[in-house]
Amino acid sequence: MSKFKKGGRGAAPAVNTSSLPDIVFMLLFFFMVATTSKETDPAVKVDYTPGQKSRDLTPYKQRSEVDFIYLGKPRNKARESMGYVLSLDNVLQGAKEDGLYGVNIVGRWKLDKYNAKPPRTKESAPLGSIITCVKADKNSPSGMIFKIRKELQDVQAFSIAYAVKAKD
Amino acid sequence: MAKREIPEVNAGSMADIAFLLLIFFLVTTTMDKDTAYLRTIPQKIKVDKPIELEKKNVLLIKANQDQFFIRGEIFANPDEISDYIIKFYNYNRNRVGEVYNSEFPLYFYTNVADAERDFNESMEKLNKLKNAGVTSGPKYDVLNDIFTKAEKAYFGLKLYGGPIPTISGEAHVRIEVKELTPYSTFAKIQAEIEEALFTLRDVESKKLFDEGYGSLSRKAEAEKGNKELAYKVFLLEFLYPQRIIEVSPKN
Repeated sequence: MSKFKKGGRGAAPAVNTSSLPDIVFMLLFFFMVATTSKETDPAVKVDYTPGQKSRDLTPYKQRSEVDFIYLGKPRNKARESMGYVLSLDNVLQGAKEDGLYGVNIVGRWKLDKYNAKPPRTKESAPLGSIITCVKADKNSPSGMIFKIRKELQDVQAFSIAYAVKAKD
Repeated sequence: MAKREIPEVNAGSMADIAFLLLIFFLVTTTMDKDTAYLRTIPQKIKVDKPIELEKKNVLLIKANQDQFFIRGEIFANPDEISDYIIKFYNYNRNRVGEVYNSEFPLYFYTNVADAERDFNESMEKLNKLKNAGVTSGPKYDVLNDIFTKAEKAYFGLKLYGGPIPTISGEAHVRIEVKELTPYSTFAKIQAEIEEALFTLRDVESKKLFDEGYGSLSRKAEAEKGNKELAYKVFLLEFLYPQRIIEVSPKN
C-alpha cells in the first residue's frame, strides 16, 4: 500500500477564475484614481513646443485653480481660413473684423468663469492666483500671447502659464 | 413540497464587464501631464517718465521670425542662451571688492543683521497687538503677513552663514519678440531662462545643503508646513532671483 496515488490520466483541473473580477476591478480603480480626465477636446489643433525644467500643473488642476486657453488652427477643415484662433471652453473665438470676438473676449471669459465658482472656492483662491494656462501651437504668433496677457492684466488675473511639452 | 435551493448567480461574465470598464477608462484618460512655465503679469502702473536703467543691468533677448539677438548681437545657437544668462548672473559675483566688469550687474553684500532687526521689529509689533487682545481682522492680517515674510527672510538668510552676495536690484532679463515670432521661439527663451536659473540654484544648493535644487523645491512644495525647507528655497531664490520683463511687441 503506498501513500501516493499513482497519477491517473485525469483531465487537468480547471483554473479557479473566481478572483479574476477582483483583480480586474483593482486595476480599474487604480486607473480611475491615478488619471485625470481630459476636460475638453479643444476645437483647435495644438502642436506643443518642447521645453525643459517646466512646472507640473497637476496639483493646480486638482484644486481647479487653472483655466486653459487653447490657441491653434481650427480642426474643422471648413474653418481653416480663420487662421490662428482661440478655443475657450471648446468654442472657437476667431478674430472678426468688427472686433466683437477674438482675443478681446478673454477678459470677460475669465471673469465669467471665476464668478461661476462656488463662494467657498472663491475665498480660498482669489482671481489673482488662478492660473491661466495658454496652450499655444508652436507656430502661433507671439503677438496673440501678448494680447491675451494684456486682457488678463486688465481683469487683474496676474498668473499666466506658457504650456510646453516636457522633455525630461 | 421540498424547499427549492436558490440558484447561484453566474458570475462568470463579471470579469468581462470589469475589463470593459477598465478598457473604457484606459482609452478616455490622458496620462501626460500639463507642464508649463509659470509667470506673473505685473500690475499696471502709471509712470510719467520711464525709469532709466543702467545698461549693465539689462539682459536684452530679442527674437524675430528666425533669429535670436542678445544685447543687439545675433546669437547663433539658441541652446547657449542659458550659458549667457548664467554668465550674466555670475560674472561679478565672486568679484565683490575687486575690479568689476562694467558690462554685467554689480553685486553687493546683504547683512543678516538687517533681516534680524526687521524680524524683531515685526515680531514686537505683532505681539503688542496680540497683547491688546487683537487676533484677527485686517490690521492683524497685515502685521502677520509682514511678520511671516520677515521670519522667512531672517531664517533663510541666516542659513548662508556670513554676508550674502546679492545681485543688483535692477538686474533683469528682458524679452522682446515681434508680433509674428512663432510661439516656439518665445517658449525657447523662457525655457533657457528657466534652465539657467535652475542650474545656478542647483549648484548653490548642492554647495550649501548637499542636495539638488530640484528635489529640494519639490519637497518644499509637497510639505507646505515644513519651515526648514521653505527657508532653504527662499535663500536660493534670494541668491538667484527670477526677474523677467516681457515687452509687448509694437507694430
